[in-house]
Amino acid sequence: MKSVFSTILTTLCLFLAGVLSYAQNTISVTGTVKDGSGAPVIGASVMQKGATVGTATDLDGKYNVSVPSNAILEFSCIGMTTQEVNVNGRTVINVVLTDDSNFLESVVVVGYGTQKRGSLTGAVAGINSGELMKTKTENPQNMLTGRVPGVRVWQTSAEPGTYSANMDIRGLGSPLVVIDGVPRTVSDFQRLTPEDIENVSVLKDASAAIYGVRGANGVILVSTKQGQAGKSKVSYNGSYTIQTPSKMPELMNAFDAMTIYNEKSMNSMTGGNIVYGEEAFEAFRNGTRRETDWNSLIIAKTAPQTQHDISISGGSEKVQYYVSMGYIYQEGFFKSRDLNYNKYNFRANLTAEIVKGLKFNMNISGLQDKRHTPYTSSVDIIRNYWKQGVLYPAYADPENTMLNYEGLDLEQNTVAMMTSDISGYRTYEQKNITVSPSIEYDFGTAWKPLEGLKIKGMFSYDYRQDDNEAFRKEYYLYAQNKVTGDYEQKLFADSSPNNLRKDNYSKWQTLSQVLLNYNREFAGKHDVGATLGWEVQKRRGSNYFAYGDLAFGSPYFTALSSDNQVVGMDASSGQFYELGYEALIGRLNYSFDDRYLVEAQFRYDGSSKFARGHQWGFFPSVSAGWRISQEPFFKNCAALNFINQLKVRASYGELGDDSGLNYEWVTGYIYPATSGNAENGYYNQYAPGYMLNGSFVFGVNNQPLPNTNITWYTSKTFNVGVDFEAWNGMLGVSFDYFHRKRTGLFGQRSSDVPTIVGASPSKENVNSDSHMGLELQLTHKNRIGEFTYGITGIATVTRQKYLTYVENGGYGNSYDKWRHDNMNNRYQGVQFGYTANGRFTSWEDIWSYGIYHESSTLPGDYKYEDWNGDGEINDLDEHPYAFDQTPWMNYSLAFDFGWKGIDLSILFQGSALGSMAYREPLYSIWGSNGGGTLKQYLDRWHPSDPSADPYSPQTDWVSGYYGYTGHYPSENSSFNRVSTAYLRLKSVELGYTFPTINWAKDLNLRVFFNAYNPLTFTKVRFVDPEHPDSDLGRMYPLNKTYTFGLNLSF
Amino acid sequence: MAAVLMSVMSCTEMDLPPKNTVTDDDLLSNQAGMSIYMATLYSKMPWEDFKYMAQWGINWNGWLASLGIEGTGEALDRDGVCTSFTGEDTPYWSRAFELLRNANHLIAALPAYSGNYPEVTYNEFLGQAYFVRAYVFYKMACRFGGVPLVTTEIDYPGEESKIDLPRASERETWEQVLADFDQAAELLPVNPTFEGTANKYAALAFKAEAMLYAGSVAKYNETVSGRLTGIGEKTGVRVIGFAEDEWQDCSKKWFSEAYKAAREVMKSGKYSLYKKSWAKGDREAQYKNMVAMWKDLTSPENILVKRYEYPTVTHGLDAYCSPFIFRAPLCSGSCPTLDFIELFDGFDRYDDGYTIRVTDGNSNATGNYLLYDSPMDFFANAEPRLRAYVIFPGDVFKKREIEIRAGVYTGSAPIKPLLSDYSYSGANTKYQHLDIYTGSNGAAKKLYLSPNSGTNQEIVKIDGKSMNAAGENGPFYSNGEGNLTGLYLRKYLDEDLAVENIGEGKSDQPFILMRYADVLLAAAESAVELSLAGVSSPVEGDNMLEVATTAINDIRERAGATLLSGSLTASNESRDVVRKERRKELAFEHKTKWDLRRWRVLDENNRDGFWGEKRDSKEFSSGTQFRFKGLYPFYSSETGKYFFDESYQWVSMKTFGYNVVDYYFSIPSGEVSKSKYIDQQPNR
Repeated sequence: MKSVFSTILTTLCLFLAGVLSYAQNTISVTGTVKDGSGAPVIGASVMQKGATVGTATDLDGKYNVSVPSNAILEFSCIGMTTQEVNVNGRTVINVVLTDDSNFLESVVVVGYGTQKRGSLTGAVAGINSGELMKTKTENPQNMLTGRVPGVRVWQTSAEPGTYSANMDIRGLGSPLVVIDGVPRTVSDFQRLTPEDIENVSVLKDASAAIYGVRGANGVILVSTKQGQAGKSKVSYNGSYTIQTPSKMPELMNAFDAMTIYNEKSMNSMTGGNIVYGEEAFEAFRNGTRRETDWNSLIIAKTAPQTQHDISISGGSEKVQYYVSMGYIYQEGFFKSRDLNYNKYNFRANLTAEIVKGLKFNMNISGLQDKRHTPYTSSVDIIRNYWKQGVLYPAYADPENTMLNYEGLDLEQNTVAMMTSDISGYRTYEQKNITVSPSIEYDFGTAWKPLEGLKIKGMFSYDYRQDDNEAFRKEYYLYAQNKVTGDYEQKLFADSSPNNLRKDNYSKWQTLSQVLLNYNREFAGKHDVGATLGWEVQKRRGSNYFAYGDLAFGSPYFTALSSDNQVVGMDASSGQFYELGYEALIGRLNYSFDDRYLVEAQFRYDGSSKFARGHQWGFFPSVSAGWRISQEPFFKNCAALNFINQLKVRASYGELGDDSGLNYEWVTGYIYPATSGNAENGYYNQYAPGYMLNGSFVFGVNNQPLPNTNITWYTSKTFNVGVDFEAWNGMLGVSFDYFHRKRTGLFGQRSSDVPTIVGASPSKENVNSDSHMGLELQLTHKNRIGEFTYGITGIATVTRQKYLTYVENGGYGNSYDKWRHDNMNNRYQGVQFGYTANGRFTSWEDIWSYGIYHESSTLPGDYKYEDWNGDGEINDLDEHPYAFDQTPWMNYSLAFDFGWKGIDLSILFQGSALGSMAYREPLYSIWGSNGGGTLKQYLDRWHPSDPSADPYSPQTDWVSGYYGYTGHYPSENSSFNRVSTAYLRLKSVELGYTFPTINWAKDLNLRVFFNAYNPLTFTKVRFVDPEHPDSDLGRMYPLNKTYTFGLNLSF
Repeated sequence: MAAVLMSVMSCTEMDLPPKNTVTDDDLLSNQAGMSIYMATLYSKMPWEDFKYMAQWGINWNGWLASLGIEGTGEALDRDGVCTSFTGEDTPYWSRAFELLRNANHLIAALPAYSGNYPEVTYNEFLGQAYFVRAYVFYKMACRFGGVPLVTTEIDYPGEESKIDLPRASERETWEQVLADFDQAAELLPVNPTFEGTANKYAALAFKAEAMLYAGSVAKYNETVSGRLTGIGEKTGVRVIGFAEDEWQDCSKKWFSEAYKAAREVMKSGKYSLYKKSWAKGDREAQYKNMVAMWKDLTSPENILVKRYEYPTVTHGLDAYCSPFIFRAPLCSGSCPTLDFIELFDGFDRYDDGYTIRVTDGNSNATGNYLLYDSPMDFFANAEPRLRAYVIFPGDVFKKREIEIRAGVYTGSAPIKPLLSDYSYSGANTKYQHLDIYTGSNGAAKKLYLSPNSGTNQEIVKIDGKSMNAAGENGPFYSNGEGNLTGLYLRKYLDEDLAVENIGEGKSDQPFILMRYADVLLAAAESAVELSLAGVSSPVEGDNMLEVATTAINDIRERAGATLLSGSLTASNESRDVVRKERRKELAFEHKTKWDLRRWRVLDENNRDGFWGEKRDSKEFSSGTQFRFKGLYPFYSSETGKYFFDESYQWVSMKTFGYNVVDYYFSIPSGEVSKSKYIDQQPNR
């Protein structure tokens, strides 16, 4: 703040000085700008302070500028400390610029303003474009992974265009995303061109209180690039990426599959039998029967992706601009190539000074993207081919022209399912435009006593339209009649009739904002800042859809048959809404001598989601910091000189969240009632209406009992932290402890309202939980000759504890409550089950084992811990032994190296204290007729002689990971629920910047190679550890990517 | 500038109501709104139709929709949903109270709008609320016995004594059912405003059905060992069963009410049995008539029908229950049993009087198989109604001959029964274990079966020609998706639905919730029961036994079955005649499972009455367990003829069980522990 203030002051002085000294001589000044190592600094800006005159250094760091002989020259370059030099009539001035390792002076974006990093009192983390770009992926969210302390990102799938990633701050839930000052959505952030991002700030604690009723989970502030005065700069970034699946289970071959199924069938106490006899093996051997290698029919080994963007920026002192365009194309792993995604972005950020002190800014951006998938979802495609097994051919004929149905699970042929030309497609197209003009006036320019006072008005308009299309296409499958030899065709029932559905969603929001800002330093010691603002937001969403059966297989409504034509609307609150928000916001900062820092913020927030009289809430926060390193005693102590910064800070605030609410105070009904599977006539669900007088009449949904007192939940957050920096960046430590308690979380006292009332209880503000955790960041930066490097280590631990959850109740006894109530006074995601106690390794082991076990126990089977010691294993032995998929701990280690033109950055990232269970296809052989035989199941205990009776003690066993086929561990045991702890090489990038060439001095070319997720260390088998167990493990995989690219600018 | 911005912003509206909320005013003040309210009520009715699976309970899930598979012996299905009706995954409890609230709300709120409607319409809408309430209490009473009688819209929050209620006694509950049906019948018109909703006679017909249940329970609880009744632990209320001094009066009263209600429907003359294409003596016409009646919305027999309309609101019966060759992608979900078809006329029997003859011996385990040129010859004299309900092997469906064949026998004739033990204890013997199939123990291979369809068919070379061992539709011994019992369901399948249009959520034939035949059967059954109890006719001038005899004969005549040789009498034998007729006529309509419960013939001691007629339960059960048989056609290659084997269904090995406690479903335990008042069943 001080520097801002003094800059303004100096500028004014100079302005006056300039007028007075108008008659001064203009002289030509030359010189060289070098960095600390003696290397020339290319492109450094050399400006006359307070004027528009200036130039940039050339390839040798040389410059030449004409300025008045008494001017002050300002030498600056990104990443280096700006230096001012009085010309004093000299004609040669050589300058050495030092690295801006003291990033304490750098500016951080905070809610409704900016602050110097050094004077922050809250937990605010920032990351700039350069750091972000070290991870190469299409989703900026994934670029944050491991880069920002407290920000957790885990990617769940790499399916193109789905942007499947979860992101939260300190485990607090979905954060508010603010882009260029306007609350927007995570989806908007995901779709930004990474190159357009200038920086990302994360408000982790009470500093988010200025966002009031939407700030409880923290705020992610994204700023896009603005133009800089100076020569126009054109940048082009292009890359080509090869994706490979990060762990993808495969099916066995037919012989293994039959062996495994034989084992499964032999696994019977009462005498098993062989299902696939020698003749079946022989039939596959001699080609009478053909197997299918679904792995290679469905999943490609690699899939391409490309990314290009170009930006032009520059401007004069009065007008600056940054315009850009971006393009992404990504393909999925399905061999049909029908899973793909493309996106076009554009952006124009313009700033103009209309008259002195009055600045006009206009940000316009837009995007269009399109996701194309087969008609069947990728989960179902993967599920389907895993379940098929390999014993039946994909094609009915040996020439592979007719797709087969015989013997396939539900007669579904996965090749048909993944191919749009055969079975149809779904497309998801989004168009987005945001326009946000703003105007800012600096009162100080008009009247000096008002110096430091500015007013800013902003209006923004966002419009988003989604056009989705689903085309179901009829197709036929074939089978050979073994008696006649003919091929018989059969219409695949689920593909018929041809059908087209289109959905259109439009959403818009406007935001108007007036901000008064005041920043001034008094008496050189008292730094005062104040912000007061008024903000109004309106949001509206609407939609419609239409579908109909088609007379023939053409994906246009022109082909509609007379059947099944429906037009309708999605009336859910997420798609059909009108909301208003108003807020008064304020902030006051005071710092004394840069030593004692205090800040107070508030937001008086109104939301139309609540009943009249309950709409407004007040959300205050306070924070304070003490920069011990600025104390005179500290500064005067030579022994402590190596310390650049030592600061302690603390914050406390109250925030809110209204996101889970939907007019719980209104009495009435929701029309029309809705239910699932409307596209199939609700045949397996409640039909939300009835046939009256021969046509379907929709009914209404009863609202829960109304609660006019419903309001947002309150989140009280406390943070205390220490920042330490020494030896000019050789060591940086930042440590935070945080605690957040939420009260008034929405709950329904379903256990209190008697069932006979016949209505669901209203939502009330009754539940509560708390989060606490620790955050540590260590940094080290150094330069040895021409070799520069930096290391950053980050670790975050978050524990969520449920305190009250009124939905749970009515437990018969305390054991029942302990066993089943995971939501009251208990840590998040506690998993109950059996713990492992080794394996049965031999018959002797089985016979001598002291604890009761099934008579069907075989060598290789699982031993469980007799937790309660009663001599038998039953459900009383289930006890808490793991946490759920969400890991408590996240950590990362980033390395950056630079040597001459070569740069290398490496990011290791990992998590711990989470677990996942293998489900369905990953748990056991899941299917019939040879289906579900993933290769991993070959690693099992089995008799060395496949025809031997497994229950005979004479049988000789081969050991393996799994038990004998057919014997699986309890799903609820530590055999099956494994830690998801992992450490992975998240990103490694090697770049080389070519030396500048004489005939094109502005030309800057860098080539790079980046690998994303190339290496993972984990105990999770078969699938990626970030891959959740939600879709039962059948989700589209994560990817490893290898990117070659170049950055070119001139 | 700031002022301009301020003024722009100050007009933001903060009172923005949600966009899709409607109020009582919108719904109750006008007929269009009332249609929405009615649609809401009826959509939540606990109808048991194509979207009801006994295993799952009332959750409107039509996945795997099959008929008659819940241990009633009508049919078998390979899936886990084919189990005894001893409880429901989603107990009919909270959804019942939700619907009751909607009905009670209408009763409370509609008077404010009485001026908006003609009296008759106003009464009708009120009557609908009573009808809904009556039906909900009725269906709860069937399941649980006494239930909390919520007859007002409960204000919540409120005084504790007003917001939670104990279960009423079973007697009070049935009295409430009676009162509400009576109220509905009085208020409802003959022609309802909205076709699809109940009219006066629907209320009466369901009243008859409900009172038959109530009267039966009151009487036959006494036949269960130890008397089936009990007092709630928390309240001391007799939540199930009846006191020793009340059951007789209750039973008589409720049978009387059943009889009165049924007779009122009969006397109205508004309904008759469907005989549009029926012709006397023409078996083909009689069969076709009973195929056509399920889809004909103009049928004079229909009293209340639940309609569907593709593609808006559909079910999946055809997708799940069609023969294997039409699988899309599932099939064969309802395979009728041998035991079931034994109820019908038109077969030769052994001496026990009911087992269908397949050999020339004294039982199906002795003698030599009878041989038939084609499987359909076996069914030449089968009752037309049976042919309308069941697809026989070799009969035509959707213009395809439905080939059902268990296997091919290549040995010479005469052929002795394939299995050595046909008793219940030998039920686990499977054809594929026989030495003549496996060729083991030195036996020559004479029996060919197929583990699966298509390429897994065993091929038999007969005179140089190839023949699949199993028929196109199975049974396949390793694939439960093929036929299971040698028979397929025909009733309710949509024969006109094109093969390529069979699919999940693609069927829209209507379900007849109440039809006139049901009313006739209710009249007949209550008449015989009243006669047995020595009660004189509650309807002036009626000769009850004559009414019953005529009713049964009318149904039999339409069915093409043999008419009764004489009049019904006040005897258990006559009662069984009515019961058997009911089991036959109303098969696959989700009614039999309730009949078996109210007759209390499912438990071990009373199971002799399971089939409506008397059969020795040892023949098909042991202890709490019981299972059913198939009728398996085999081709004899030596003779070129077919023979049939009767054995326990051998593909999916379904076994059922039933205990006395299952006559009343348990109250959901969460509801018991949550409430101070709600009692668990005393015998659980």
